[in-house]
Amino acid sequence: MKLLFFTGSRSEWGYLRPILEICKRNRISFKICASNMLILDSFGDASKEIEKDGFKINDKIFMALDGHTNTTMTKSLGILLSSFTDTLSREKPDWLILAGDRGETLIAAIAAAYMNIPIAHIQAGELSGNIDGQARHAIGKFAHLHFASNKDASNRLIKLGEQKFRIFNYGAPQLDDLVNKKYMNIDIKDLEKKYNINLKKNYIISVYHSVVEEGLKNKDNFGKYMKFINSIKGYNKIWITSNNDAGSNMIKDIFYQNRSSDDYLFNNLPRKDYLCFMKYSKMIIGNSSSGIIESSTYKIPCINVGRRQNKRFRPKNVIDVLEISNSKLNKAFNKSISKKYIKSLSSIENPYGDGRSSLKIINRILKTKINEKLIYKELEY
Amino acid sequence: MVNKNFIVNKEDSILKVIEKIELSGHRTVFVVEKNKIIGCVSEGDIMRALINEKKVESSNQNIMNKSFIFLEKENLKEAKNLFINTLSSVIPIVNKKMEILDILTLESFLSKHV
Repeated sequence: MKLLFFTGSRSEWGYLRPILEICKRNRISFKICASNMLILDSFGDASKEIEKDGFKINDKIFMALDGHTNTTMTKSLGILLSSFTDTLSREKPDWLILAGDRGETLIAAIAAAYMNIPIAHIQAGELSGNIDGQARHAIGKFAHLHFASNKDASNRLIKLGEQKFRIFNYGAPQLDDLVNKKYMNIDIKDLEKKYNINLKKNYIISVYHSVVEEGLKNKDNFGKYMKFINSIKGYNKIWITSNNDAGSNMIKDIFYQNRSSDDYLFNNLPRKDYLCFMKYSKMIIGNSSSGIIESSTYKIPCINVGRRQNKRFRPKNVIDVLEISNSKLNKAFNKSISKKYIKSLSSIENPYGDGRSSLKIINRILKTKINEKLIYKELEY
Repeated sequence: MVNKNFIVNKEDSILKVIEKIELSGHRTVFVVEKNKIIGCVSEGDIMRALINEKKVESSNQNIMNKSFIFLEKENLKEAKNLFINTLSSVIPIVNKKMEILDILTLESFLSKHV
């Protein structure tokens, strides 16, 4: 059995890594194809972290044209389609395994589907707020196995006309590390020393990505967001750079123009360090899926801003600010630091997984017979 | 007044950065835009860029580090810790708005405090 894993961003790598660890331990044959931001210097080149984790990236596909506009983003996807087709025809995998909702993931799914290569899609069926949400559903149309991370998502897949035998609600594999406490032994003092930040002072994590279909509005929205973050006194702010979607250059420009000395920016933190920063932070704010999916494990508040994660299934620690304005952000912030609210989070559980997702997923893939019933999809509606 | 030899623009070529590093007498220069510091490029970054077959004519913005150390004022204890922890020989001093005010070099630090 030959498995091919495709990933184009660090968040997807978080989903795939626990599964790959199981493959490695059990000598299951696999290869990794990495693309887009994951292999770019300007986005922190996470491939080095992957190699440090003991994995080999067998194929790197450079696809991202500079400019970060809707035009370059679309054209970049075209580059991936032609290149990844070659990868598939060379590797001839039994399964393509991919995760999430990004454009490059959709392209990988399209290529495999047209080449009759079965696709297993992790984090399937959810709603997300921008064009990624459309991409996720589109990937679902091409995928042969859907791994949903919660009941809400698996129900949606059924409603979208997917056959029931393809759908499994196994939780989010990226939580396995968090739940199994694998990374919990990092001392905050080690982080302080490694990154030269005073972590005795309270800090928050901010992750803000552009929203592709909002075009120029990104500038306005991020400007308001940044102004609000700057107005928060008494906290250090740890920023993770935004991804390379259309509009990201505007965000970077505004960030640099308005950055103050309590803003610490990181290109790409190793996952274990990122999780450790999150564990000790007072909250996570922005529009990253990490806030929605991961932060409730650490029982910290998450202020989710704008429509990027719109309608996604939320744990109880998420406070939404749909329309970005100083007063609404301020209200959410004050709620999130109130003792009453923080106390209410002490008993919450993360609905996205029980820490055993990866094993269930890989077992299901290995047990699934590759036959006509699997390959030729019938759409129920 | 900040020594210009420590300052580059993000559009400057890697070659230009190498020249500046040579002139600065240190191993790191800072990328400044509208008087705000936005990153740094060290000899190590340049070595890695060359190993990865980057052209020396290309701009430095894809190799610059967006995470960098800085101080808001010349604080003996913090500066000492940063010099020891990072093995860097230069630390930019910035104001609240991240505008670059000065560059603290290891030799000036030692001559003042040791």
